[in-house]
Amino acid sequence: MAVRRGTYKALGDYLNDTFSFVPRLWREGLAVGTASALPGAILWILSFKALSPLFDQLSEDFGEGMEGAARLFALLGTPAILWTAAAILQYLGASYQKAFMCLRAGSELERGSPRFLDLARAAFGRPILKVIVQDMLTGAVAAFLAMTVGGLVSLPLLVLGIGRLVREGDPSSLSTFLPLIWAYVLFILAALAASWYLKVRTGVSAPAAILEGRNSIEGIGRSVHLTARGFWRIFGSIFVVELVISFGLGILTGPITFGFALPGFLSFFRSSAGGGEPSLAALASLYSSLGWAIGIGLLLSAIVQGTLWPVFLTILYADLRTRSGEIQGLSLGCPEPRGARRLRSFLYGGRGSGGRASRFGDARRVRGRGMPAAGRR
Amino acid sequence: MSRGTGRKGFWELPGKNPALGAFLGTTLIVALYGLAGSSVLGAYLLADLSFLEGGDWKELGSKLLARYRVPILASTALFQFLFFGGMTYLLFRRWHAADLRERFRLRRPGAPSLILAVLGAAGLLPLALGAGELFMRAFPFLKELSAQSENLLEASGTGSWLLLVFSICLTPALCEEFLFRGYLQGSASLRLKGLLAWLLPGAYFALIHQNYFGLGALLVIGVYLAFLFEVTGSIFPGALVHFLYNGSIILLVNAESKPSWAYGSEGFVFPSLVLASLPLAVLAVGLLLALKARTKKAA
Repeated sequence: MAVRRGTYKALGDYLNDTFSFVPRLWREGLAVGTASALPGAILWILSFKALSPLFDQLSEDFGEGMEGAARLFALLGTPAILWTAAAILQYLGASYQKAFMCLRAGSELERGSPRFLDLARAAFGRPILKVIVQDMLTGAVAAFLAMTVGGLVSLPLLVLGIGRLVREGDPSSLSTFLPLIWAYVLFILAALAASWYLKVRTGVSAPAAILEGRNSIEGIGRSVHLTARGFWRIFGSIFVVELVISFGLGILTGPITFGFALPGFLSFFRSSAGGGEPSLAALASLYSSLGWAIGIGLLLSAIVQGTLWPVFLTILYADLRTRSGEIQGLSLGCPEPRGARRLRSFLYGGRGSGGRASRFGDARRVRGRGMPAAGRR
Repeated sequence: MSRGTGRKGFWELPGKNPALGAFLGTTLIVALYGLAGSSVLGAYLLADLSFLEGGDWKELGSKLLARYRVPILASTALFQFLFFGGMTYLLFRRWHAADLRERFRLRRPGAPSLILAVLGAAGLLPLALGAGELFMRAFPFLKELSAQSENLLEASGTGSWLLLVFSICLTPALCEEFLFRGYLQGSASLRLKGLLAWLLPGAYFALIHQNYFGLGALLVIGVYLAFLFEVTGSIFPGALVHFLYNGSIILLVNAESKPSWAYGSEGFVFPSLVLASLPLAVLAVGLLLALKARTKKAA
């Protein structure tokens, strides 16, 4: 299919379309973001609060040898369990949010207006499983790739550094460690480059799997196929949008998390005023405040970033499909573009009258449960 | 193939929000500026790690600032011109393609506006200084940290003074005003009306510095600069006030001793001075509003 002139997206379109989503769908984004991230955030707060008994015990058992140490380790159990549960819940919540927002942005692409509850229910099925599997797989591959590439690149300097350390044998001299420091820096840079490469190539796996009804692996393969051309353009878009979202998020949430951490800092520094050691109670209060700051920070970033990022990925996915000539461009958050009727006709088949199956697999299943066909509206 | 929606003036098209574009553009520019600055400083540190040897870790910060004072100041100025100046210009031409002089309000202000702007700044200066000290009163260690970072602002000779005036006073007065007032507030005021038109960009200016311990001072000065841009209809009174405010900080850092009529023995501004100077600020703000109303009526 020939691609019409003027349908490709540039950086401004990505930003506009992603952020234009907010005023229209902020209620859904807020509800899903809060519901997804709140349980994990609460557990993070509780896990830090659970450190309090540890500090009490620490002051009692100080200097009591192995028995005291054993009692302290026993008290670490509750926070450790809570941390693990918080991390798992956070991961599941983020996956659900990603699945929901991909479905929601996909339905916008199709000019559909599904009921919120239908979509929320649909995201609980296959889409969330696909996201979980994909994120675990790409995470594992990214870690492996980063370690391998980083290791290979920094290996010569590492060998040189260790050789120098053994030969000179003066660990107090900085020059002995210089090659090792450089090896570490090189490792980080190479690992970053490798993980960014993978991030770009697998960037649109989630919308590809969810909206085309593919399984997780096929979704990753589809993303690799769609991003085969124009790597630097895609990298630039992802980098800039991520930079804007994360930096903007830091600006907005920074003072809030800072405010939550402040009481703990105040009590900690009051306790250590005059040059004395801070009391364990003050340390417990500091950890409790930090727990609140981390919990609230995670909640806010999940709501903002967890909503905007999948929307951006879906827009990118649609643009890549447009560029590969599969569909014609649609613009989220804009008035109906020229050629929308023809596009609907392409998506749903027939002459734009709707009623036939969508080419977006899971969206089709949602429509079967009450989502009106776009062409019928 | 052309990039249809990526064409010039994209954010000014029907259905697009130029204020959103300006907020996103500003965030992007400041993020890239921070990234470039950190990268250069990181490269400097990596190229010469000898400062780590045999040093007291507590003094590392001040040692670093003393050692790299000139490169830090020079690169700050360079990056402000490159990012806040050049990139803002390019982004505006590409994304907005509107009349730059009109949007950035590059108009010559009247003498009364300039005088009243400076008077208002003089009235607000003790409040800004006092607000900046709030956290230092609660956390005494911040005073030590602040003293360490003041190494950067200490002048030792004519060249040093010139560098400070250029990089700390002149460059931010031109470049930050160009970005935050000209681009951000000029575009935001197309959509935001009333108090929000200057409160929001002013608060954003304060928040984007990401200095939460100094947030009070930044809020006072940021909101006042935004108010000046709104009420005088020109970018220049704000630039002048910005220049004078930064200059007064440098003068205070380099003063032999802080003026005893303004500072107590603990080194903090007298609250009574803050209260006593506020009427001057209120008077200047009131007169600026009256001046705006009269100009509007005459027009």
